[in-house]
Amino acid sequence: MIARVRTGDPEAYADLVRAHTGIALRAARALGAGADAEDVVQQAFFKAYCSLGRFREGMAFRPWLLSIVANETRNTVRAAGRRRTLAGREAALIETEPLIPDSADPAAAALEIERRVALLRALEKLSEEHRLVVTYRYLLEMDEPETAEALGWPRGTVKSRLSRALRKLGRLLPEFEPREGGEEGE
Amino acid sequence: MSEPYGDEDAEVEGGRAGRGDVDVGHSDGRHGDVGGRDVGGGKAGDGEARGGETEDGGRMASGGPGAEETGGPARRPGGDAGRGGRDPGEPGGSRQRPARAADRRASRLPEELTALGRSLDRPGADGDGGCETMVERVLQQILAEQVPTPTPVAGRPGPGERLRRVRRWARAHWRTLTAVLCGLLTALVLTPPVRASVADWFGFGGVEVRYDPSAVPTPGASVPGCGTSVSPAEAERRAGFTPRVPEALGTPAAMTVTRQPHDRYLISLCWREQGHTVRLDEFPARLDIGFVKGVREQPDWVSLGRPDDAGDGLSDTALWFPRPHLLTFWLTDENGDRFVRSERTAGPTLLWTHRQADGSDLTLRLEGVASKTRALEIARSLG
Repeated sequence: MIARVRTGDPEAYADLVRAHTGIALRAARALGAGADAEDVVQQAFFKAYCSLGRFREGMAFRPWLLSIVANETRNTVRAAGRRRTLAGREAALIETEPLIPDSADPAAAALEIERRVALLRALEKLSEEHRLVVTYRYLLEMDEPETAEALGWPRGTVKSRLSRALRKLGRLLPEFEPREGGEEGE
Repeated sequence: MSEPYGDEDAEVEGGRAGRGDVDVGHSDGRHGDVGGRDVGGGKAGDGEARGGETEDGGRMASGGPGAEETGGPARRPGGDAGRGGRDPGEPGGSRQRPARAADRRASRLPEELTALGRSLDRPGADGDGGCETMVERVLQQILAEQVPTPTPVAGRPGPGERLRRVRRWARAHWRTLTAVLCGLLTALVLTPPVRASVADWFGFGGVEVRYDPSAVPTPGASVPGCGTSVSPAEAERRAGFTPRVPEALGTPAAMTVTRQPHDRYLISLCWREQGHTVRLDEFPARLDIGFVKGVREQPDWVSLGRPDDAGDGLSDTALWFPRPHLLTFWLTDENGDRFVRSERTAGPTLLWTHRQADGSDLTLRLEGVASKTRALEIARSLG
């Protein structure tokens, strides 16, 4: 595919964009691009195209692209500060409300959203490295080798940071069992 | 940087202390198969119940194995647990509970996090329709900003620096090159991969190195000889420049002049060494493509170790092609007036330029010497 793009076949890049738009948008939103997600992703695809020359044969495209998306997101939200980042992520969640199956009763759906918002808040409290590794590995559903590639870390580092991040995240999260719902007061 | 590490230490201890709790519980015989790590939702009650009971055990466990295993830092959780017990002002129970509950929750987290990620997708907007919009936006931007077709560049730091030097040089000489470039543009548009190698042939006038994974060389190809020889004086008269002879190779066995497009000439020198041909092609470094090298891997950028007389680093740089590659070059037809592109497999080759007394550059390509060291020696011995 990359080889086809390099021969100047525009349809080849269109195919690449088509195949990765979904995950790229998810990445931008997960990393806090909020309403700018589409602009960020467009910019990332554009930059990816410009630097496709540096893309080494045999590398996976997705981690590479997502690291560009991450950079773009960082650049976009830097000025606005982290507050907005979190607000953007939460907004993205609230907006997706209809995604929770209709079969669930409204109370459960509300709890579901509450739980995700809490998860995001906990993520926000992690160190940058821990947040990134969790985001890449789970929110973006990459496997460990891909995560390592996207973050430019050795595989072992990904493994250890991931398990530490998960443990820390678990500690930061309020209990979610319905009967313990009131525990959230900080 | 030190902060996260401190953090991680604490986390490790925390985890160990947590596991210690479970072990103690296990020895009590109350929880046959409790694994703090993979308890499902139903075990929440268990955790609660043990929260108060194992306060002692918690202290014991963290003081015990922790101290034995890691010495110094292990005192921390022990201290924590101790503080929890001694200081009634601190909510000891809630300090411990989250630690254990955290383990339990952590086991469910991957699932929850994945669901969280998926919940960020918008099936409507990110679906096929959204993709097409993105495709359009991206392609439009690429068109609008007239981005050249991406072609692989040498990525290693050394070559990268050299490439940047070449680019700087190219920028500095831009005006004088513009005219030549205009003539080239037509050809470049037709063959997009050429574009990114502009930097390469700026440095090695007349030779374009084109990355082409499909350029499969034929095995067992040999270096072509020079054919009918002419005298050095005759070669110089016909080609319009003096051929340079590397001392390391001695007097060439043969010397020929080949006409190239646009009234350019190529002088080839040949030697016989242990039954095979060593060939040196020389031509004035110009901005049109005489040779095209199709390589499947980037050549090595090597230093000739000569004084950097031009001050731009170019005259010191050579390209070493360690493996056989495809070489495209100009040939005239039988009548000698129509040029055709011809292709053959070339063996290991050294490519470099030589600054002459009058300030013009000569491009040289040496083929038939398999050792890089020897090829560099020959290049350095150029008279």
